[in-house]
Amino acid sequence: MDASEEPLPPVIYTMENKPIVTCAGDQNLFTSVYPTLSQQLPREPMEWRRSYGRAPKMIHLESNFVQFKEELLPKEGNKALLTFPFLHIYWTECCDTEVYKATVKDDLTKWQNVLKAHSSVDWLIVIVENDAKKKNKTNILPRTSIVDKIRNDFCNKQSDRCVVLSDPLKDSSRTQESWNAFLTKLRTLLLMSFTKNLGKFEDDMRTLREKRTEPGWSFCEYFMVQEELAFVFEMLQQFEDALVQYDELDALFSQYVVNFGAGDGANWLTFFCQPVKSWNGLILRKPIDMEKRESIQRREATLLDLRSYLFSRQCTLLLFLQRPWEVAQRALELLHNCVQELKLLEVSVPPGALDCWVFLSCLEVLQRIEGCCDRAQIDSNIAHTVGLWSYATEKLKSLGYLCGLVSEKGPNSEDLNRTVDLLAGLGAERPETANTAQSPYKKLKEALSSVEAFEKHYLDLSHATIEMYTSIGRIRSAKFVGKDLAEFYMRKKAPQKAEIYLQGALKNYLAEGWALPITHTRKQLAECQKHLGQIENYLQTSSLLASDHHLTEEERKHFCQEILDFASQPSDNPGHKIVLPMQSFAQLRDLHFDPSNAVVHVGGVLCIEITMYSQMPVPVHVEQIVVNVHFSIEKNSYRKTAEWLTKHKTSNGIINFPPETAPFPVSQNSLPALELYEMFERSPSDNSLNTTGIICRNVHMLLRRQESSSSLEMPSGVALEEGAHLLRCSHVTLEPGANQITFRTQAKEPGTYTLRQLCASVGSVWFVLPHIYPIVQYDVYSQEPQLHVEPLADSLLAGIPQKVKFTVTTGHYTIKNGDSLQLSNAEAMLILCQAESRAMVYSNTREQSSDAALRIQSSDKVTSISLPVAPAYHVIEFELEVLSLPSAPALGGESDMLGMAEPHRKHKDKQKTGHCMVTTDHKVSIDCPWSIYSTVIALTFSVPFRTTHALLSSGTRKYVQVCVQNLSELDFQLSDSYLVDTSDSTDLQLVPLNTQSQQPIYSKQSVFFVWELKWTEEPPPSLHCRFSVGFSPASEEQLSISLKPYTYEFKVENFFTLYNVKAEIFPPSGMEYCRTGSLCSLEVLITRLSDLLEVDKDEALTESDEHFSTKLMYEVVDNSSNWAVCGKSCGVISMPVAARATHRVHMEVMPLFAGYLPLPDVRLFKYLPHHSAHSSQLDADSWIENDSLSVDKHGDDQPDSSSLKSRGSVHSACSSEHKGLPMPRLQALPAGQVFNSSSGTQVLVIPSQDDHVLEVSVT
Amino acid sequence: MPLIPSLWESKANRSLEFSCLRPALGAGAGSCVTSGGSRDAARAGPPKLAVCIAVIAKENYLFYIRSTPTENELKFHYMVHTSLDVVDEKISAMAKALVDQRELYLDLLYPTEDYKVYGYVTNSKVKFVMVVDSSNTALRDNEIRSMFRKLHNSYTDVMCNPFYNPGDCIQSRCAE
Repeated sequence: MDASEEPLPPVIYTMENKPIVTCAGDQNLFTSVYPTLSQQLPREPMEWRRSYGRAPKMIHLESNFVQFKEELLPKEGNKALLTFPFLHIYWTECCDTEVYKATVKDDLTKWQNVLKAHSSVDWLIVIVENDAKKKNKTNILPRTSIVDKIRNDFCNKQSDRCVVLSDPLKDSSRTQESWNAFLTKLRTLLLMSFTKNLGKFEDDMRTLREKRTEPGWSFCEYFMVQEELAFVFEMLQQFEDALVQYDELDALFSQYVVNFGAGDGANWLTFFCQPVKSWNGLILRKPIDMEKRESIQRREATLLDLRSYLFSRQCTLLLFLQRPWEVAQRALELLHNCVQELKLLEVSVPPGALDCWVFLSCLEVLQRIEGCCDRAQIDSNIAHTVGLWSYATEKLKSLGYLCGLVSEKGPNSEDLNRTVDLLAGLGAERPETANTAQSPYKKLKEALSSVEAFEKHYLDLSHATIEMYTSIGRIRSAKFVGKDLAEFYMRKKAPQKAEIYLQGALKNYLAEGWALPITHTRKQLAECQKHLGQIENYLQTSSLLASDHHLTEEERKHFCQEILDFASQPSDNPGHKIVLPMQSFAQLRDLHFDPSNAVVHVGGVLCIEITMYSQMPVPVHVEQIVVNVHFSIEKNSYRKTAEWLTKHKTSNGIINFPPETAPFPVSQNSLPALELYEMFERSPSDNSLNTTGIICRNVHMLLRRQESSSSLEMPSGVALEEGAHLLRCSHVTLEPGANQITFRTQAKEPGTYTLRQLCASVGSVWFVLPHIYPIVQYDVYSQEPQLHVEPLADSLLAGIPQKVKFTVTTGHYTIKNGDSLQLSNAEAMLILCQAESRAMVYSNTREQSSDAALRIQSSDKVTSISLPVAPAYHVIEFELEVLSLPSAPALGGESDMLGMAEPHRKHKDKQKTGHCMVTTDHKVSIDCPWSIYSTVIALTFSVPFRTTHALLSSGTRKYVQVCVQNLSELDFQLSDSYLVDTSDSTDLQLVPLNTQSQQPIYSKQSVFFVWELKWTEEPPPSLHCRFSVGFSPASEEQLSISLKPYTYEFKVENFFTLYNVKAEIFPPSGMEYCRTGSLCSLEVLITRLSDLLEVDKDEALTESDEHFSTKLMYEVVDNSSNWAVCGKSCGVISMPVAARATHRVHMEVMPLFAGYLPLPDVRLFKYLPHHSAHSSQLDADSWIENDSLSVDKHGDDQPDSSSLKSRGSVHSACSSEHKGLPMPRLQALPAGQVFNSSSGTQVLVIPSQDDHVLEVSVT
Repeated sequence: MPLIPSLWESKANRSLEFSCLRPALGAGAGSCVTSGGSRDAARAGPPKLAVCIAVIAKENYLFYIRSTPTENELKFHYMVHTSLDVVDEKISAMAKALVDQRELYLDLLYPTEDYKVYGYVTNSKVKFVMVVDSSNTALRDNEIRSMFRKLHNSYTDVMCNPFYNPGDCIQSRCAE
């Protein structure tokens, strides 16, 4: 677009237009200055301030200088702008007043008058000053005078309209300066002229536009006016502004068309509605399509002409602006728009004409863009052009269809006629493309000429488009074009070429789950596969289509029938199976086991009912439905034993299968949700929790390889498993929708059966569900007959009737009539026969099947229970009442009364610490009909009571207390308590102090009974007693049998009181009370209450002078640390064995606390010499004082067994040390022999005065 | 036509209303030039707003599509699906822009001879595609924008429905 610099006469309508400047005056002078002027003028930009708030622009000015002629000046009303002279310059070299007056002034005046006549005010007078001339003529006036004269004469108020150019052809700084001043002036004036004239023009134009509602207004006329402005802007290289003019025209026209469509028709527009007769496409290779322009000017243009011309201008300007991609984009809009406008204006267009026009235009635009860009630019801007490619392809395709070029047979005569008509509308090829081999015109003509040529061009275009779409990542668009191509191939009967495109498109739609496109493409694919003879694929696609709800019923039926037809064909290769995935044929909805826990014993019948949802539109007769079952034996697994299976498997027997993936697939990046389940595994023995955890059930879904999930179409090769175990169901007709199919099988081998595959065969077509998921299993077990006997309650209680449950698990044994259980009777356990006892028979799944009366026959030795008739794998349950005769654990070595019973204390210390009931085991041996061996069952009964006794003294009076403790959970009623002396001593009397004969004893409570011992003569050293009390459960009103009383035997020894101990504490002398920290005196008074008795005769007794005395040791111990015993705390005294013999001991003790303190304990021991022979050698007192621990204290408190043990160990250590040394022994006096008369008394101790600290301990 | 849109009828229990959809599309009605005259008789029915609207999940499967006239449903499915190419392109170009400067409205995706396809993408990459009849010149950019905004609001309402299971197809009985 470099403008040529030659001063050519104005040639309008070429790119070489420049604003016209006329030159008057001295032409020779101008010619000499011109080269410099035309070179210098555009060199510097000038700011052009615009009206209407438009942004100022820097503009490089160029001009076309022409000689001034009056004709150049526009006449009134002439709106032409291109030919408009923007500035008039008068050149003069005159420096002589005479000359000026003679010629120049007149010339100038004439020039000015002409200008004034045309009301042109844009003029300039240039006075060229030449030093050379000045020198030649010495008598010249000063230069300024001429300038002043001219200014005075012509520029009356505009002195700036006259400039001086000094020595223009010299190379001096002065020349430069003057040039610069001149050029600036020239530019300024030019711009002023532009602004003024263009402004005026625009105003006129606007006025014209405002008249557009007037009837006579013509768009074409207005078009020419506004285009004039565009031309001027273009001339000024203001392409942006020029484009705006065209865009405004475009918008105006569009608006008219829209309004026309809305019923607001402008008259002039009807002209554009004339039928389209020519469709030769856009012409973009010339800057201005004069032919079209003229037709517009003549108001003969059609809509396509106008649009084409307008676009060609826009295109030219956009290319000037280096925006080729906008051309492409606008072109597509234009083409769409034109098609729409023609439709809107209801212009009659021959069929195919628009397709030709669009096709040609697309290629023209593309070629134009290619012509001005390099390859790399084009490649990186495919996104902009691909739309045109695609549009051209589309149009060529529809042309091909229209002209019968796609059909198999080729075009018929009608098609040919149409083709000829279409070609005629193209007209002759334009001269500017005539030499181009690949011109759109030639392409179209060739493509329409023959079937082969069309195919070539169409394939070229399609492939190019697909390639472009693919290269910029518009896969979906590429697939869509590919689908068109596939359609074409199908028309051309080349299904093998079509298949790949259809598969590609289908895969794309499947991946994104677009249901309708999937269905449509699949339908095409089915046809393609049918032509290709891909039977398996075709059948698979057909099955998918037959189940497709987006198709009509008829279509679905058609595809279903295709499958059925194929299936019913006699196969030439018998046994050949076509295996198809089941999914599309039918879906497995749920599965139901009967029995519902899916566990069946050997020989049992298992029903599996499945719900298949047939997807077919018609009922389908299926020859057989087969479930392939995998058999496995898990040995040594507790989970597979009959007990576990029958008890633990408590599912409802219904397994629901997740519906097949919804119409849209779960996308690849969003995985299915985790299916987590809690898992508890319990120990088989006591049902305690062994392990617990969380199981993810769909790990296989989550962890599978990602790429495998993209192949959504099931691979056709579904492996058909052959297994030995099959569930079969023959001749089933699957109705559309849900169908119930029942499989029935008889269990044979025990083990686990897993349902693997589901196959439905229709003729030679097999529909296979390769994996049944979630896993479905059933178990078959076998079981030995068994007998369980267990108490109904937690524990059996002895002495009262208790219920025991008998459970007979028949297993594989069938109970026949007459089969009975033979129980060998235990002596101490009675089986209470009740007439109304009944046995329940259950199946193994805990369904009650019958109940029958139980016949129990008891003889001496044997109780026979005849079992009801029950089939194998059933459970018989019944209850019996048993009674264990009560027994009391005797203290002595007496043999118990309970015969076979083995009462025993479990562990001595355990029984003492924990309140465990004493238990009795009874063993019963039972003969079962199914076994030659007897079953021995042990039943453990607990004695509900524990009894203890105690001897109580009050001085010399004696009482026996019996405590009965109820250890059981039951409440009892006690009655008729007796205590009898078994030795039957006559002088002894037991006087009961119990008032009530009936007494309740509640659970975990105790009842005490007290008797007073009375004797007349000397009491016996020991007493044997038997306590008996009747009991019955408090809750039951009446028992059918009389219960035996509970008995307890015990022995009481040495119960006669021999000594009375009395202790007293006195405050220090002179004090009223004891005080803490001060010594008090403790006085112990030991008194013998009786004369010599039988019990006194032991080692300690010494005799001297008819007087008997015994050695006693006393010990003062304060276990509660209230007292500190000062000095000796123990001592040995010799006690005369005579009534009222008294010994007084005095000791000092110190109270440690204030308050009422109990007295310290005073204990009495019998002091037995180690050996009578050595006794004299020892100072026993000192010995005891030295090592009181080593004294062996017999009869120490029993509960304190641990301390006893430790003492024993110390003792053994000591004894090894003092080996051989004699040891005195201490023996505690039996509790009955000593009466502490001061026990329970307390002494008041007051705190010492200076003791301010009060210690409070709260426990 | 062979293709029956059973997609809508199935799972009736899950049916959720695109309740605001009608007002959303109705918003355009106010500004729509109601044309009179005999020419209108050729173009039957009231002026259409959008001939097809579709809500497409981030993973490019359909949440919802509704088109009028229904007989050309397949065509619109293809069209909307193909337009996703441009949506993807625009989204990836947009990804470079700052988040808060991001414009949800994607403008004209591409024009075809008879239709204009407009796009809109939410911040969670749910796409709305609207197909407008090319002859419907009353719908300017602003109307399209406001229709998209209304559609977006309705979509948000659906998502807020606690009974809606994310990822399911959106069912709606009243869509234009």
